[in-house]
This record gives sequence, C-alpha cells and structure tokens, in this order.
Amino acid sequence: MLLVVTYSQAARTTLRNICRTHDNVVVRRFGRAALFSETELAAFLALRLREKHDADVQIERTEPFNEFTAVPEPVREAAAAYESRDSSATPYSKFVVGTDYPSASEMRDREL
Amino acid sequence: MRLRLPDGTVRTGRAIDLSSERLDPNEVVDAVRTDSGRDADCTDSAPDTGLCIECPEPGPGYDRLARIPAPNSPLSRGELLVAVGRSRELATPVDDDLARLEARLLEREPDSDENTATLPAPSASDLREARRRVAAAGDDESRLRERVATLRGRLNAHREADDEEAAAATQSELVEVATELSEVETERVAAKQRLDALERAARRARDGREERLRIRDAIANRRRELRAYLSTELGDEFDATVRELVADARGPNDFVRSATSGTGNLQQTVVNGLAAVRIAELNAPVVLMRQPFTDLETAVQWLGTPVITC
Repeated sequence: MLLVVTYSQAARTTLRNICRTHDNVVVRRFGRAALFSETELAAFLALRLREKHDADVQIERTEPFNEFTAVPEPVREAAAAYESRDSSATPYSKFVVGTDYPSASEMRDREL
Repeated sequence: MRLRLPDGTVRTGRAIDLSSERLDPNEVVDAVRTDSGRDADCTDSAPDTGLCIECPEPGPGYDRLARIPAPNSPLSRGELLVAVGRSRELATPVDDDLARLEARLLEREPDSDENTATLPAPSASDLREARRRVAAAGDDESRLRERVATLRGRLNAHREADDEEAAAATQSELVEVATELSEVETERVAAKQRLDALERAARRARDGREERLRIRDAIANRRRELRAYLSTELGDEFDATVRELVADARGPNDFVRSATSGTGNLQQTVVNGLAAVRIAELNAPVVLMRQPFTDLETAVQWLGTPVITC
C-alpha cells in the first residue's frame, strides 16, 4: 500500500479532498496521513499530490508485515515471553538477565 | 408502595425504612426496576422468596437518580441535570441527532442480530497461523529451488564427463526434487491466498471498527452539547435547590437533621443527588443510603418521591 503523509495545511487539505472524492482508493485515513490501495489510480493521486505540494508530501510504499519471514525467532519469542511475564513492573533489561533472549541493545544494532 | 422482604414481612407506605435489614441498596433498586410496572404481586402468599416491591414504574432518568449517593463515582452536575431532563421528558435540540447516531451505532454492532452483512473478523491467532504457513512454505520453496539448481549443475557436469550412470541417477533425483518443488509451490500459493483472504476480512472488520469509533465520538459530542443545554435550562433551578438544602442544614433546624450532616456540611454529592431528585419527575421510590432529613415523611415531602432508606 502507499502511505501518504502531508506536512502543510495546504497539502493536508488536498489530501482530505482526495480522500473525500476517491473513497475506494483510501484504505485508511489518519489526520494528515492516509493509506492508499496498491493501484495505479492511487499512485496517480499520490503523485499529483506531490507535484502540487512538492516537499510537503511524503510517499512510502508499505507491505504486510509477516513476522515469520521478517523477524528472527529469538526476537519473536522474547516479545511473547516478555508480554506474558509474571510481574508487569519488571523492565525488559532485568527480564532478559539469565535468559537466551536478546537484549535491547543487541536488537538495536541488528537490522531487520 | 408495597414491599415484601425476603423473610415474608410486608411493609407499605410512601416511606419505608430498611436500615435495620442490612439489604444491598443495589438489590433494592433492581427490585424496583424489575417488579414495578409489571403486575407485581407482593402479597405474603406470593411464592417468590426474594425482595419484592410494588410501586409506580420507574421512568426515564431513574437509573441515574435512583441511589443517593450514586454507586461508583459521583455524578457530575451535568450528568444529574441530563437525568432530570430525561425524567421530565424535556425536548432538546440534540435529541434527533443523538437518537439517529445511537440507532446507527446499534445497527453496526458486530454482535447485533440484524447485522448479518458483516462477517466475523478473523482472529489474531488465525492470522498469525496463516502468516506462519506462508513463511514456512516460502522457506521450503527456496530450499528446494537451490537443491534443483545444484542438481542441474551436477547433471551437466556428469553429461560433460560422459558419465552416463551418474547422470541417470542425478536425473532421477532431479525429477523427484522438482516434483516436490512444484507441490511446495502449490502449497505456498494456497497459503498466500488464504492469508490474503483473511487480511481482506480483517481490513473490512477494521473499517467497521473505525466507523463505530467515529459514531461513538459523534455521540460523545452530542452528549456534551446535551449536558451544556440542560445545564443552561435547569442549572438555576438546581443551584437554588442545592442552596436551599445547604442553608437548611446549616441554619435553624427545619427539615434537615444537623446530626447526620456532622459538622453541618452535608456531603456535596449527597446534596447534589437530593436536589436533582427534588427537581426531577420521578414516580418510583429512590433509595437513600444516608438520610439527612428530620424524618422520612419530610424526606418524601421534600423530594416528591417515595423513599426507601437502606
């Protein structure tokens, strides 16, 4: 999908107008951003928006997140284990001590 | 009002003191709600063993005003005045909008019977399982693809070396792996299709949730306007009634016992609740946990409703 983010009042207004007139292109709207469907029409509208407002418009292409393809197993397991921890007050840094789960700093340095 | 206690004792009158009975006030309010309006028969020969109350049917606004002090958190002045407005069946400029929005929300609730058009949202675990299958099939596929490439290379090498025997063996292994690969490919395509279908369904469900959130926000805005409107319409009357009650609790003892009010200051939430009941149009009995009046008859007179104390 296409993520369209606007950074000026004028660009936001145009985005709002696009969303109003092209309901079927818009998957989701959030304030001054919107997710467009992956169609040529959506790309056409996004590009027109950028032509008009230039640097006030950011366009990103998103894809569905599949943790089983994108994320190493230890990271997935760490997330599940930490969310089912016994004491909700335990910070992650303390939680990983003595386990095989990756530390936050290890994960910070590794690219997905 | 006619009331039968669980032990079979029957009490009648506009004011009934149950403070010695140790009853849960919620239970009393529930009994008013369920028994009144229907042809409750609270004679001592009735078979029901629970608390039974024969009284006028509770009208709109009763839910909020029935208990003093209110259970859980105290009601704001605005909330009390909305309940008063409801009890008087006052028309307000937002009534139509509010009714329309509430109806729209109701027909969009996913568990509503009328709403058969919306399919149930796929569960998070269904989606996770579908993603896991796609990933697993994808891994198998790339592993087999590599294996096919290796075997092709080996087959060519054997052929160039004129090693017929080795080439035949590699050829048959290649056929086997290629068959397996095509099966795994089919599996991956099927897994991907299933995931796509679930994601589409999840997106539709999110559309519905977003729409409901939008309606809820609109309802909250209309309710705010309703509170503001009724505060303007009923505020002066309410404030005057509160002042009357507070002045009486402090001044020469007329209808409020200063003993119950401790230092002479009644608890503000109780004062507000009592004032709201006085200006409301309630027919069903209100349940008082703290009774600041000199006697129950005075309470009935001042509040203009039947009274039960717990």
